[in-house]
Amino acid sequence: METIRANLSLLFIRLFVAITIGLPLNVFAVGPTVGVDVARLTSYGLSTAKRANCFGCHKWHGDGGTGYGGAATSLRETSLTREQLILVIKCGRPGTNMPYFDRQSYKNSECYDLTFEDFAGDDHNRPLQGKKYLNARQVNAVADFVIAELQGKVLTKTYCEMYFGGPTRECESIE
Amino acid sequence: MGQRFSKKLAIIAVLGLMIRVGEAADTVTTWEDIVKAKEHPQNWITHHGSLDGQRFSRLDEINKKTVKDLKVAFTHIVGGIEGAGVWEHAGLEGTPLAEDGYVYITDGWGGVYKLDVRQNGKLVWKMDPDTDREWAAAVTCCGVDNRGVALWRDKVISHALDGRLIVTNKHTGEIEKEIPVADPAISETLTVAPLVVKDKVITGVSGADYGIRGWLNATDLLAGERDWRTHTIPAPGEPGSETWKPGPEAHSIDAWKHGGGSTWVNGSYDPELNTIYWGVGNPAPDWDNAYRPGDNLYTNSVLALDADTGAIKWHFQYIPNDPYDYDGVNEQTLVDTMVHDKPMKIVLHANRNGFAYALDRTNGKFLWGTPFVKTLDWTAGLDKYTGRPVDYDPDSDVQRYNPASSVSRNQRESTSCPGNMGGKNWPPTAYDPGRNRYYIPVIESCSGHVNVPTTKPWQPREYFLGGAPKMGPVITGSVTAMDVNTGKVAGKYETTYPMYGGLLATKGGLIFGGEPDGRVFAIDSDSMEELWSFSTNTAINAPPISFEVEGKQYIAILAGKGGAWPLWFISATPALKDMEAGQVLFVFSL
Repeated sequence: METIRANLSLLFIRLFVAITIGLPLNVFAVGPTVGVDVARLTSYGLSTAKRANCFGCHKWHGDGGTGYGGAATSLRETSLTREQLILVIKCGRPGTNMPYFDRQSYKNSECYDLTFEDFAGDDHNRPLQGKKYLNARQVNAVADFVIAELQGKVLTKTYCEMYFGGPTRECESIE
Repeated sequence: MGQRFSKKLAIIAVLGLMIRVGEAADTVTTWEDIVKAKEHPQNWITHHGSLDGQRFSRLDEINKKTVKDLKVAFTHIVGGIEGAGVWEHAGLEGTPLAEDGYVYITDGWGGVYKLDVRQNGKLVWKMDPDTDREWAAAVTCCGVDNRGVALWRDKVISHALDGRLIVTNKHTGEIEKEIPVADPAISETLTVAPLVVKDKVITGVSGADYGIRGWLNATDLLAGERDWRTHTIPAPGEPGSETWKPGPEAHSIDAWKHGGGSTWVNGSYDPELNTIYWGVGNPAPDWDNAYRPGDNLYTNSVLALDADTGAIKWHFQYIPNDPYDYDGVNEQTLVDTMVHDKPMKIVLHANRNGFAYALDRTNGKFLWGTPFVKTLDWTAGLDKYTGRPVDYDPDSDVQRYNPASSVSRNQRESTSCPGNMGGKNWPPTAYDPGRNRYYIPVIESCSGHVNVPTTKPWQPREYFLGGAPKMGPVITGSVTAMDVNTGKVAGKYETTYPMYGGLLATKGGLIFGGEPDGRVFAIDSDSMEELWSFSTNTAINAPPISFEVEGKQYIAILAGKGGAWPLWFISATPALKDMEAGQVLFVFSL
């Protein structure tokens, strides 16, 4: 019984860290890798994020909010660093609807020092699997896309038309 | 030579004209045809097979003995699978219609296809409505879907997601009229199939999750303009408006303006009572019921409306001030039968909240309400006289029901059974009049709820949910049979996956349905044992129908992954994660 309690306490502490990492931490973000073709990187990051269903919850504008995918964080307001973004994309946020996208997550202890065994019988907090697995290059591209196009930025018509692939009606009312 | 050739051409032309005229004469759908659809079981000419919504086929060539020999007769690849916005692909949720050897189906974008059964499902024509895809898809809550067409005279009536009612010539496939009915600028979209009543067509609207003020709309097809529109949320001064009290914020004082109440599942019609029965969906914001104090009529209700005027004759509300997003939009099934051993005119309804209801459809009086799911914890039960949840607090404007299961501004997370997708979602039930049994496609589920207080005023084209669902345990499904006379569960056929497609009952003693892994099955209407199955390997999100051509009975069903579950609910059915999207009409025969 004591062992179970101790394990649960440890799990809650780790979960707290995992969940709070999605909240603003007032740390400065770092930009994408120097020397990269930003336009191509953005295009790849956007198409990868679309395939992974990032916008199903964070919305096409990236501002998140409530939705059938969950109450999603605003990617425009997040202050996560590139490394933290990569961690959250790979590992998700157990206890929320943010899924994990790395095929190896929770099979080893690289995600918040937690494995699937820690969640046995815990449907409330179990890590949810993403719609598709992303490899390291894809995870990095999504993180770089967030930093380049969303984080700390206001919604623009240019972004809207980039997202929708053209001048759709959705973009007409945006300055 | 030339003269003889001209004569031959003339003969061919006359014969062609005769065939054309003959075809036209055969395929005019009169109001009498629709009212008496049960007398012509070779056709399936309304959404639910008959205006009473029973989805019962009186064909019996395919029966308990012969169903083992059922095989694919033909298939037809359906287009319009392309996605838009957050939707990677469209889906198929439609009910095909069948008339005089032709089948009419829709794709998710509202494309209509006429197929010739005598020619192995060959395409006769396709009508592409050129839907404004990005504009509409950005405000559809739950997939790029269209649930089918209606037939009226020599026309095919359909909806497009971007809010248009479209009248198409049945013989040529040419669009004859386009009538704007819903406005995506305020998040109104159309996924519902039209319901023809006399020379009107009834349209329901989607968009409660974006904070629309819902309605039912009747369009006069002869005039091509609106006949009546009845809002499902009363304006101040109208009956029921007292159930929308001012919320606590400056922007929730007039919560009724964005109160939800969608109508996106086809209702039913009783010609004798000249009454339309139609379910009304959830209030908005879905998970923040403190924003909208009061019972929130007519959300989560069934409305009985005068078909000529749209006036509300009576209503019955399943869950006042709903905090669960349980919805009341599901179909209404009209039955003249014995209830508690008395002959009654009733309306049956299987609600997302996990209860099946029987009401007297002449006045809305509650007769019985029974859980059809295995686990139900949001209320201790229904009051046996009123049908209201026993936990309803008449002294409170903000309901909690079972507080452990519901969210509030003071309790931001909870888990309820059924989950927010409901014990049953939109996929329709079927009723067998010979057995007096009501068959329900069930989602056996529990899931989480999250409350996020609505601190910002309503914004056009943005979700207005006040929270979100949260994935819980893995979920399954069943087909559950109810004895309508007693109101008791009569049997269950367990399914591996939740039932995201609807049902068909037949005189052959069979219930047909499909699972989201692509398996189509037939079960014994009495024993509920499986008698046949076929793997389409393409997700089933649509209900089957039956029809007959040249003496042969067919079963038809659309296969095509659609709706909200592939995007957000897949973690509740992880084994379906790798199902690919594909769109095929499957037609079976002996």
